[in-house]
Amino acid sequence: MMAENIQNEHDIEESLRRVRGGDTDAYEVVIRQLERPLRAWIASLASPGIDVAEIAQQSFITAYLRLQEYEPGTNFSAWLFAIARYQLKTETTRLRRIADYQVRFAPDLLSKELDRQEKEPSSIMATRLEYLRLCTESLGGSLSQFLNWRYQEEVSLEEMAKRSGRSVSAVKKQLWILRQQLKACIEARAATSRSL
Amino acid sequence: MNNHQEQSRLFETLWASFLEGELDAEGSRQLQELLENEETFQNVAVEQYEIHRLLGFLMKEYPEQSESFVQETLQKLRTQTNEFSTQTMQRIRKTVFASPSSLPATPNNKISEQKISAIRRSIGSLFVVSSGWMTAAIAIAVLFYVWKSIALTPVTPDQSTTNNSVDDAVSPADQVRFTRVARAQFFGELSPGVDSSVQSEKTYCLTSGMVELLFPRGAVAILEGPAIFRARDGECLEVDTGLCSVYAPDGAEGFQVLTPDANIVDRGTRFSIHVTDFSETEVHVIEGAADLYRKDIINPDSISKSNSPVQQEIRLTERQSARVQTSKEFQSAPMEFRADQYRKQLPDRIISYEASQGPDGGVDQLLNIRLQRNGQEITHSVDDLIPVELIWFQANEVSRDGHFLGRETLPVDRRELSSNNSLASGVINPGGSEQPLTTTPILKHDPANGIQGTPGMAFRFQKPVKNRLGPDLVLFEIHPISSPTNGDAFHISPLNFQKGRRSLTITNYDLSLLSPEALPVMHMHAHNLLNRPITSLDQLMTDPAQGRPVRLKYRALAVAIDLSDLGYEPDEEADGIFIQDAEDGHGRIDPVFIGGLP
Repeated sequence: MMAENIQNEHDIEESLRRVRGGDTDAYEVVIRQLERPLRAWIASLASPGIDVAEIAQQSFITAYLRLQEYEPGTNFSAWLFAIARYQLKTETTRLRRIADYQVRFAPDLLSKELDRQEKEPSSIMATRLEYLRLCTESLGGSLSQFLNWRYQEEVSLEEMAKRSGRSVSAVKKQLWILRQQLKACIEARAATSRSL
Repeated sequence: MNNHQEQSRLFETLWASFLEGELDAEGSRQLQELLENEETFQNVAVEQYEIHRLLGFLMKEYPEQSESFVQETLQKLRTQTNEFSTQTMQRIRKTVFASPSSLPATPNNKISEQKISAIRRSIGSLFVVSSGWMTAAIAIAVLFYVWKSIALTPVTPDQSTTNNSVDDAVSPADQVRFTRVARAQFFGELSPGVDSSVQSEKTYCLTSGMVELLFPRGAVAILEGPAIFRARDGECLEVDTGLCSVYAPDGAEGFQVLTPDANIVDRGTRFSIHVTDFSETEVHVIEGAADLYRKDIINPDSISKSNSPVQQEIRLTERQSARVQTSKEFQSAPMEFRADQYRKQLPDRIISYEASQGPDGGVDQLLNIRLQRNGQEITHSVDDLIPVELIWFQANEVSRDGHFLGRETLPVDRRELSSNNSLASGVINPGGSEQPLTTTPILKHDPANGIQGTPGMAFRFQKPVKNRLGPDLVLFEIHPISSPTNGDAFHISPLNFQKGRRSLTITNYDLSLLSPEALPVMHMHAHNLLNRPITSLDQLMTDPAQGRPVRLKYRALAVAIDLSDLGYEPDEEADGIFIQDAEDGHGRIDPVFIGGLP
């Protein structure tokens, strides 16, 4: 994973060098390398109602237009994520302003979390996504089925309850526990990786 | 149950309802209150939210999504930058290019000094009237224009004849060419195409691989990476570091190689030069003679040796060598002669290939391959190559990218995807192992009797391939342009381990993503199978498949393989090969064509 990250950073820096040299199409390589972790990171912290793709696209465009401010070799992905964080924060604040005071808790909470997470390097988010994928694959058949219903097929809780022969509140509880288990699994993998 | 437990349960119920979009007004009020009063709830809420959203991202993810995002972003980028540049360019045109006589018309797409000065002035004036974000945007827009002027504007015959610039004449250094390229990777740029020009005075950083340069009077230099070099004036190569082999035939005498401490002048010879990281220069003369001079001597032929108080020239003849280092005085030291440092030619490899074009311009059917085999460059029609038949397949895990590439509909016999000549079809994503095989692979899967097959894929040649001198088979794989440039690593093994046979791990392709000769592949369809690992060829052939268009852009990489590297004796025949992904954490190998050389 580390070697891959280094290779990716190297590819990104090379592409940026080409962009500065006039090969504007080389920016496509940068977008391809970073779009997935960036979209995932934004999705994980964006309030409901925020267009994740829009924020990600605007972040790439802003980074492109301000490329002269980026010092080569100083971790472009971290710089891009800082731009994205600013964009997301702005949009979250806008949403909070127009939201009814009773539903401001979500943007409030996520805004606070955005402040806490100064930056999330792309490599960390890419790693977390990979850990999450591995953790979901390690789930047993019936648990995995719940995730597929909810997040892949997006069936209603009532339909999930019908299919599984449980009550709706039991399904909610099951999903809650699954998310907790996945969170713990990600952290365990991260801890193991750090100790190696 | 105490109050905190009750609150925790209520919080879980409410937050779960919020995540499901089912929270009513009263629930929102209660949730807000709980979150305000309990920091632990805030942390749990963020954790649950993050995982909930990441699951939504991960489990609804499909490759086309990324491609669509990239294309939309690029489109927006073009639109936004065009908006900036349209307004800015109007001003620039008014202030800089009002007079037709100031329009540039220099050859080689070079922007004139006059225009650069005018643009600089324009940028200056724009900075005066702008500030902050707009300044940056306008500056970028102006720079775009400069870039486009330099790199993108085509030069028409009219333009090239309307200006009497001194640049009209092609400099001798511009006649230096890259005549051969082998796995060359340059820092910060793509590999040069075969027969492309070497730019005068440009510093090339060859990080790996080799290139061959041909100079106008016939001198040939082979550089091996890592090396830093530049062509000076058509008869002179400057090497800052690296290994260089020079051959100067009759007529090319006087060819010079400059190193940090010495000038080496060819007197009709073959020699090698190694400039170490400490800037020492080692010279080994294979045949003929070469003279070494101090770096500050501009014209070696003008030296009056008798008036020289210190040693300024060293002549080396056949099988002589010297190490040169300049401190205050020009010093040389004898060293062991090493003929093996001289490279007569580039290694055997696939040089290029040709293929028919699909409807979108990408390659489809392989037509021929040009390769160097045992030092000889030859072209083989695809009809001369020995086809393969897929006889075994096993994957370690479910492949989300599927196991088939091809047209919208799969052929009745899916093995055809591996046997046909198309570079846009194949059986892909086999299983693998970090460690290459050391024993004969098992081509059977019978768990009931304790037989586990070997993950990977096996191919049988339609007729045995003989181990001749040089490479004996070729393998093509497709690789997305967004992935690491070297291609997917894999192990290749004999079908039968006997008499010292062994596996070989391929981590670099002859034609990588950085090679202009690795061509873009036409539009394809990927076909996913059931959500279970493929354990046998039978299962691969029969499991229901579902196709979808592939939107990523791919190129066809290629590598030539010598059976000697698998432990085959000269003239020994191979019936087939076994391929495993190298499990290096990158993408899995996607072979689309394998053929034995006649």
